[in-house]
Amino acid sequence: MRLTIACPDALRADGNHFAMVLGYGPADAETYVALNWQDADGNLYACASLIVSDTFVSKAQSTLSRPAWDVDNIIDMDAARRAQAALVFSLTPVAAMPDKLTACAGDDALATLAAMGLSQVEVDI
Amino acid sequence: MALKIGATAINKLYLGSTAINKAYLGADVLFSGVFSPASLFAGGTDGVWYDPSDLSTLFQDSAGTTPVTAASDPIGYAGDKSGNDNHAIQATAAARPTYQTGPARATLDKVDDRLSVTVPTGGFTGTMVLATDQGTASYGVTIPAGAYDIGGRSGLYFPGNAIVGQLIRDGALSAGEAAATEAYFVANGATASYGAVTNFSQFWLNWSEITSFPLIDTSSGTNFAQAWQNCTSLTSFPLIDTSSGTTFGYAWRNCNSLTSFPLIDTSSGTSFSVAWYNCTSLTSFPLIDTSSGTSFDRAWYNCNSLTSFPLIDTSSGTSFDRAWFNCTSLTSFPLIDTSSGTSFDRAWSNCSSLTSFPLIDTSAGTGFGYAWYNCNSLTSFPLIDTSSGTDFSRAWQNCTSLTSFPANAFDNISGGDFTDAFTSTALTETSIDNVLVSLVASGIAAGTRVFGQSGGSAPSSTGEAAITTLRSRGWTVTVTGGY
Repeated sequence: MRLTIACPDALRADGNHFAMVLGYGPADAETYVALNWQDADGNLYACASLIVSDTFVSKAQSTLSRPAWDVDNIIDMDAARRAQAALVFSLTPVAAMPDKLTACAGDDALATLAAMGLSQVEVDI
Repeated sequence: MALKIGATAINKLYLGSTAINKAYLGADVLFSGVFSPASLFAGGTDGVWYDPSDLSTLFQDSAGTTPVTAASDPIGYAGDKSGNDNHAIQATAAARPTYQTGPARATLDKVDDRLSVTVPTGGFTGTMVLATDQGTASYGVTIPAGAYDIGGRSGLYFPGNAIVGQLIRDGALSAGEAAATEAYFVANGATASYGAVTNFSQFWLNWSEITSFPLIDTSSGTNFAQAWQNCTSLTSFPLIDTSSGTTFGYAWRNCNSLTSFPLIDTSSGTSFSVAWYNCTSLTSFPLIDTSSGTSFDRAWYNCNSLTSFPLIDTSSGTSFDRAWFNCTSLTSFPLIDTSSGTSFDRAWSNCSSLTSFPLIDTSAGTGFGYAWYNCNSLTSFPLIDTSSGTDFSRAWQNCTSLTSFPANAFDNISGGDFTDAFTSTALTETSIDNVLVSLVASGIAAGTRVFGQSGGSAPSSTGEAAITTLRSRGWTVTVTGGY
């Protein structure tokens, strides 16, 4: 299943800690970087899209624990939990919200983002 | 291993009259007559070659430990087959392209997916062959040392949806080598031509490394919005087929090394907004067919090397907002058809070399704010139709050489915003009188009623009488001499 996730600017730091918990290493702190998307109200989002397993979805909605690779305590687990608390997961597109980490299933990432009410920020205007 | 006679490598091998493609010594290929991109990197030539059809080069993780084995696996590592160990990786899990089959390819979600290679010291100056699911083409490139996205610039902009093969060689490929490489990738499942693509929007956006663009088939393209925006290293552009194109908005914006532009077919184009914005090296512009164009706002904004402009058909154009803003080298302007134009705000602002201006049809124009601001070489101005105009604020401000302005210019205007309209001009006494008397003739006695002039001559008693009348109608009038 392809999951497309919209992370509002205010949740980027927390979202990246959450991504590290679900991911494989410190590089996953770069999951939500560029604020390339915006909603109709002009709120900015960093977005990611990836193919995930059912296990991933389950893990994202379960009690979080520090991954084995994080022996140096890079991850701020409180931040990760805040992001998890803001997680909205849907099998169909729902509108992205500036205080939620919105994850929607859909085969076409760009179509999903459009259905979430997001458009690309104009480039260098 | 190679088959040689003395020091000479054998190019072709026959059994009787039948050419042999491969000859083996045990399991080793002793001779191959089939083109391989590997031959392009002989002698340690630098570059990269990625080949998703070779599963042995693909790994799910960026460390290259977990192999890609099946469709939908992420690609975190694409091994370089050029022999230069310029492997492409993606360490962030969510940003990894996905392996797919039929054909074997690295698909990009165009949200965040990309693979990056660290280009070695010295960079690459040569040719890039990029084979995708939507088309295959060869480009001249100059890529500096450092991180370089081989798929999806910034994760967003890519001419297709998947990489079927990509090769970059430091050193230009010959036409034959490029063609052979393209054919190799096409044999692996890449789409040969872009001829079926209708939407080219953002395909090469921000590809500043491209130094030459190929003559690809774009005959089906309708949308070219932002297609080549920020291709800042392109010095020329080929005569591609854009006859189906309707949207050219932002298409060549910031292509600031283009010195010429071809006579492409834009006869179906409706939107040319920002199309050649900041093409600062263009010295001339061709007589393209813009007869269907409605939006020309910012189209040639800051094309400050243009010395002339052709008599294009702008008869359908409604928006000319900032169209020729800061075209500082234009010395003349043609009598284009602007009869449908409603917005002329800042259209010729900062065209500081214009010495004259034609009697264009502005009868539908409502907005003229800053239209000729800082056109400081204009000495006179024609009797244009201002009857629909409501906003003339700063329209001729800083036209410091403007001495002559016609009578009756504003007799039939629809609104009275002339804030600083003639500030810092050089109007003669007769000209400022002409303007003031005409404003009286307009009969405007409601809405915005502001007029400003400085520089040049003060009005005569005729002008002063007009000012008195205007003030009695609620106008705020400021003129040279302080009357």
